[in-house]
Amino acid sequence: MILWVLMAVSIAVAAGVYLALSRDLFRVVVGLALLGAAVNLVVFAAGRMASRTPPLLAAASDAPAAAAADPLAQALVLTAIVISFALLCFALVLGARLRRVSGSDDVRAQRAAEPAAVDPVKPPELED
Amino acid sequence: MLVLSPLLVPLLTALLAVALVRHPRAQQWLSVVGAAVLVLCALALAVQVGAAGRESVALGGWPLPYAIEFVVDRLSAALVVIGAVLGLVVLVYQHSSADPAPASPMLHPLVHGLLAAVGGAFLTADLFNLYVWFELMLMVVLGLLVLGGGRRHLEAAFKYFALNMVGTLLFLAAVALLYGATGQLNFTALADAARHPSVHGAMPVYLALLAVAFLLKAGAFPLFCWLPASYHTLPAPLLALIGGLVTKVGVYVLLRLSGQVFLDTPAAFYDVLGWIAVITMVSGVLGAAYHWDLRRILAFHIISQIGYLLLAVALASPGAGAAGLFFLVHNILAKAALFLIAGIIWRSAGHYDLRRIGGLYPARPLLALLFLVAAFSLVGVPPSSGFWGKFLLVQQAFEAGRYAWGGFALAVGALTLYSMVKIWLEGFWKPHPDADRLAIRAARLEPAYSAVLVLVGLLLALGLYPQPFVHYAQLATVGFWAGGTP
Amino acid sequence: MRSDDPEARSGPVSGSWLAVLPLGLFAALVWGLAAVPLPWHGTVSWVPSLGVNLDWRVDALPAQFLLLITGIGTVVFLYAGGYLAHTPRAGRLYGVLLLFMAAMIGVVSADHLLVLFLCWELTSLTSFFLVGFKHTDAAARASARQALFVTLGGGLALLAAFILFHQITGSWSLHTIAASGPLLAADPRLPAALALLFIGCFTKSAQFPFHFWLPNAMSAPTPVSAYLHSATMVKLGIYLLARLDPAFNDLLIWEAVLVGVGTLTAVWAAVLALRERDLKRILARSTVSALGTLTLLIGLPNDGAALAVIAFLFAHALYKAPLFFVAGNIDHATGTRSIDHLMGLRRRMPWTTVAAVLAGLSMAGLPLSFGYVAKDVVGAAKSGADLVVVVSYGLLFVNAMAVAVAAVAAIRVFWGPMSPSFEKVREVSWAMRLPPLLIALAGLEFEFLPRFIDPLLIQAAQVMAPGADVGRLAVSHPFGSGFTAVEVTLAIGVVLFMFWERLHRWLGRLAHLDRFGPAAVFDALLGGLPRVAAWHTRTLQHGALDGYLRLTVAALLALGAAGWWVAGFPWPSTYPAGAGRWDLVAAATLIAAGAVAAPFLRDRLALLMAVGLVGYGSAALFLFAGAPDVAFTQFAVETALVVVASAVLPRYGRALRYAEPWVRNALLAAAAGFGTFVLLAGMFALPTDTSLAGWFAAHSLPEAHGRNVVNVILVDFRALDTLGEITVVLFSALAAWPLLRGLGHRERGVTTPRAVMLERVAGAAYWIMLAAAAWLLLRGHNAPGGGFIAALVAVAATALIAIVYGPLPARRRLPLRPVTLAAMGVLLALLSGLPGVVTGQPFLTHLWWTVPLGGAGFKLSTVLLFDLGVFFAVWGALAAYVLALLNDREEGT
Repeated sequence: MILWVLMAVSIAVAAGVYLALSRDLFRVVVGLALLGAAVNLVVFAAGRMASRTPPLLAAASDAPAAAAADPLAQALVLTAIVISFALLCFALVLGARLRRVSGSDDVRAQRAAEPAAVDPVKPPELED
Repeated sequence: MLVLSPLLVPLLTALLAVALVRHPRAQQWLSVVGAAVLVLCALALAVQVGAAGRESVALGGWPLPYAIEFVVDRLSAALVVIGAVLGLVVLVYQHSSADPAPASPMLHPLVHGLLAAVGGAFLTADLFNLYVWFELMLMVVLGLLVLGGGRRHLEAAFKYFALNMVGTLLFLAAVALLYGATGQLNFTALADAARHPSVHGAMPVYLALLAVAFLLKAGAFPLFCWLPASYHTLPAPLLALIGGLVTKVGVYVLLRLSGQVFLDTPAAFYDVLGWIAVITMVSGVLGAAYHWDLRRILAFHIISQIGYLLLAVALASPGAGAAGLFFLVHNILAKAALFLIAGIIWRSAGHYDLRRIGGLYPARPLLALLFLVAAFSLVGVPPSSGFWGKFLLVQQAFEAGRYAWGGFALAVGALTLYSMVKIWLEGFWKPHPDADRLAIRAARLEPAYSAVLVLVGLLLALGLYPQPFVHYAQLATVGFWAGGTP
Repeated sequence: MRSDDPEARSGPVSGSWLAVLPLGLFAALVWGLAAVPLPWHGTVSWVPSLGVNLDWRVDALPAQFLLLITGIGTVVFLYAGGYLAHTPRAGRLYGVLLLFMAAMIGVVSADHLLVLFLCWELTSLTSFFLVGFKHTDAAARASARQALFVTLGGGLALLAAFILFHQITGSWSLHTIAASGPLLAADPRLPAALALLFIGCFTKSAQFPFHFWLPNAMSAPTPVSAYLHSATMVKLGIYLLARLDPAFNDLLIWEAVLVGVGTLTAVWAAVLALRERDLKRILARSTVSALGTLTLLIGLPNDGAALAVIAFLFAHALYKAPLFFVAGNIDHATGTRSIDHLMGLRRRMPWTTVAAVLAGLSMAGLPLSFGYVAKDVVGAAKSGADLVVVVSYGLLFVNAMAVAVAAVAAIRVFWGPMSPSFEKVREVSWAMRLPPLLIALAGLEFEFLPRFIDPLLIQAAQVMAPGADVGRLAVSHPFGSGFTAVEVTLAIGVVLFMFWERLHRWLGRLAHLDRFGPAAVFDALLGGLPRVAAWHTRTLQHGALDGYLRLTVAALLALGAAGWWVAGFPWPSTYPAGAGRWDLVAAATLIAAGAVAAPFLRDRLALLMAVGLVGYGSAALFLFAGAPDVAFTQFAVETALVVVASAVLPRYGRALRYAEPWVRNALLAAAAGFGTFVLLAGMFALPTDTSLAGWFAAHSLPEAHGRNVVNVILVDFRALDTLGEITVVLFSALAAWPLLRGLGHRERGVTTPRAVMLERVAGAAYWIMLAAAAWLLLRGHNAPGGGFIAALVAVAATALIAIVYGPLPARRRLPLRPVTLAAMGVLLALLSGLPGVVTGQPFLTHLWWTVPLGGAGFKLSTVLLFDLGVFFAVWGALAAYVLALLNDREEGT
């Protein structure tokens, strides 16, 4: 059963990589977001997903729940989710701005920082 | 508490700077004061560690290995000091007219955010905490890249983001897998757990994943595509700060992990790392030979010098580690000095492109002298700091029987010379195409010159009297790779 | 610089006064040699940790060199004062020249190999600046560059050789290594070390095939050429070879290489001298030839060769330097150095003529000159050795060429019909007349000179051949047995001189063979480097992000696979079981469905939905696997992301279909997925170590006073992670600030239709949501909730107001401006860690106080402050994004 989860995560990684290798700006960002989600699942999987019980100490007892889920993995996932969320917000805004400024969403059209090389040997043409 | 100062002081400065967003002058003063305080704290920390050897603090008062630990030893102390000095120097340079960063209210918070992230990365002894500081570094560098606002800046930022995101995600996955395999996150605990027979066989795989992530962050071949695509769009002071520090943090982590955490790594790992280092060296210097824009040339030289540092890690011995530390410090100083000098060149001669400038030797002799010291340091002409670094490295390589690696290290030095001589001939000796350009004396270059003088002075001191730091570096890496069999 | 300039005849100028420095050193040296017995040695500590100290040791061989360096140096400075009298920035040249002299002294006195190397490279460096003194001239720049690359490049080989010597013998000391012949010969690394040593010495001393830089270095001012490129710097390679000769003299490889290369260089350079028209270049070629002879002599195994080296070295310096000065005088006076035009100058420049003749005598090896003595010794050494015929005849030719060149420099230039354009030529200033005369006179064999010099030279030869009988320097006697050889050489030399022009023309016809010469090879290498660099950089830095990503992913996979290979291809031994977990399977199916669909969806909104499905599936997975906090956070974050992405979606325009290498992409993606699976399965197969998790669960309540273990870890046990996380969130808003600012105006647009019902409710809803957020915040420590979740609810509230009333009212309802709010949140979290420090504990140690309130005590703690900080930080940062984006939407996009 857990094997299905691992396979799902692997498929998500593959899909994320495929999208990230796209030429379309939006697909790249989305692909990286998907990849991030997949890696978050990997972090969670490090906790082995063995249990259904949340690591909450019941109000009555003071003893930890028996066979609760790994709290550390959950804490790590939370941090990872928040951080990748912050990054992705920035990326979406950057992508939007870039789309507006460059007028194209083709990643190969992003040539402003790469000067044209007109001669096979001589260095690129004069730049600012 | 002093142990935490390299993280907390810049963080505090950044936060207060955000509060002063509407008062630019106050923000600038706060920024410089914060940087100065950071330098003092870093020096105090280095003195403390120089005597005691190692200081550690477990945050939150909880016992190890459950708490996050911050450790300062001689290695991290030296790097923290250099990082702090670089931060202060760059902020002073920012006041000049030599290609300063745009006067955005977010500039100073971002710069101090970078110093905080770097400080955190140098000091933390917890693998997941390291990830957090790397993410902060990524975020801040992205912020600094888009400050320019133009199309090239945005494109550069996007490429940087996409490629580094992949690296970061790989790092996170590797951390997760390591935690899942060993159940530990603290470096010392990981080192013990890695020796457990049950996980021992899989360790090289996890180390490889981590190493690859850091090779990407450091800018090794073939993972360095993001560097020449983005760095040259930065203004000179930011380029000096980012180019001088960010890639070096990746190398530092590799050194730390392979020297103290993953101790029973098979020799084949270091073989591969060594050859990657050699190819990186050559690749970087070839890129530098192709370009004529000063910033691009120097950006490729970052890659080439990273090759040297990776070679030090690949030699896997305390002596090589000492050579690596010496080379790290020398390299940060030399590269930062060169980037800042490039900014002054731009202001004086009008362009970054070597084909459009010239005549700086007769017109600006002080600048010429500063450039010579920094450039020859980078090349490794004796008696500069670069010579000692390269000598240490080549000697270690020969002693380990790696004659090919040592030979490449020397040969790449010759190619670096080619590049620096090109800059000298085109920028300083050749007459300026526009004869009157140099007659105009740019205003407000004193902060820039002061900043460069500090860095070049440190370089000269390191080159002419290396004994104190060589001794320090040799003490710093005692015990690295101990008990392991590279 | 013509001599009809009246100021050219003025007395010694400021530069010449610097000659007192080398003069003083020379005098001190002479006094020292007379008073204190050699060897002199000492050491200054420099870098003891590396075993590098300033060890110096002067025995007879360095002493001879020091005499040359300081003696000729004195005269050079004197001359330079006159030569550069009207040159701007001559002061820089003097400074570099002094530095050069110091470096030369350093090389010959150093006993530590690395100190020697240091000074060696310094001489190359100073030479670069001296050759490129007229830096506005492109040819001078090119020559300087060429010289630097060749000599500094050779220096790198020398460094490698030195390190190897140290490794083999364990010592850095030059004289120890020179005495360690057997130890070195036994080591298998010796041939490599010797090869590197040869490269280093041959580049410095312009031996074949590294000889081509020396004639080009003649673009330097004449004093520099006289000093560096004839008398001192180029002899350094010879010096080092001579020093190490005692260790290697018995080796066949030493003899073969040195004799071979030396002969080849000597003959080659002699032939090429015939092709030159520039007087200085002719002299430069003959210098190379002399250096070749010296190399050859060092290689000779017999004992007499040592004295030959020493004597010839000395003699060469004494006759070459004045000839260079003569060339400089001629250039200064007439403005040209081409032998095509220079003739009959003796009447105009008598002093220079005398100097040239005297020096020429010595160069030709005529009796009464030291050159004769030297050639005599050389001849004796030759006959003492068992030389190949080619070498023998080659040497004969070389000596004859020396005669011919001497004749050109001394006779042809000064005798013969003078061109009318030289009517106005005047003799040069005294500062320029004296030096060549002084040195040329010193090169004559007067009675007093041998008594002083000969013992020193013989001692120096003994350093080269310790313990052997090195012979004697013959006193010059015109009618002795060696005369016949001299006669033959003279005769051939005179013939060559007479046929100079014809030979020159004949060689000129062979000019097309130049492209196979070493100079052409060097130029090809230098020109080829940009080609290689261009190909390499253009291939790697092509500018297409998808290409970069492909390369990166492929490299990551390859290196990861390499790591797998190094580990021995471990494969998971067991697969995780987890029977009956259908809930997990359901969640996994959602994730897989979304992931599988995503690449095929072209429509952007659909793509977003597919990715959202993956996110929601993850949230479900978290819930089913016992992580409610995580599930809620994931759910909220995914919703926020989908909403934000949809908001910016219109900006992206229609989705165009681009031609992509989808097969390659698919393969990489599949490999990545496979790798992930193997890694995950492998991890699951390893035994778990739950010590950390167990400890956290056990200590969460008693010591951290919290029942929600995850939250306790986040805000207490590993609070620094959370502090870093909210810093990242803050900086995300800071970084995006310039991007968000340009997104729209601050005024409220009027295009959104007002939903009146919503308006009535919105105000109240805002406060209800904030209350809910506060509740979530407060309960987080003991139940699912916490600062981040509370912040997400608060952001939703802000978004609601912004949608209904507009961004400005929403902003006004925030306690502070969004970015400032976020920063203050992080600050609060940071400050909450300080009270612990006040009580002497580490940072982020949380303190608890119990406030007696009602029945049970009410617990107050810094944890709440920390969580509050988290709350404000996330609220502020996300509000910044939301408000800016909604602002933009109102612009009617």
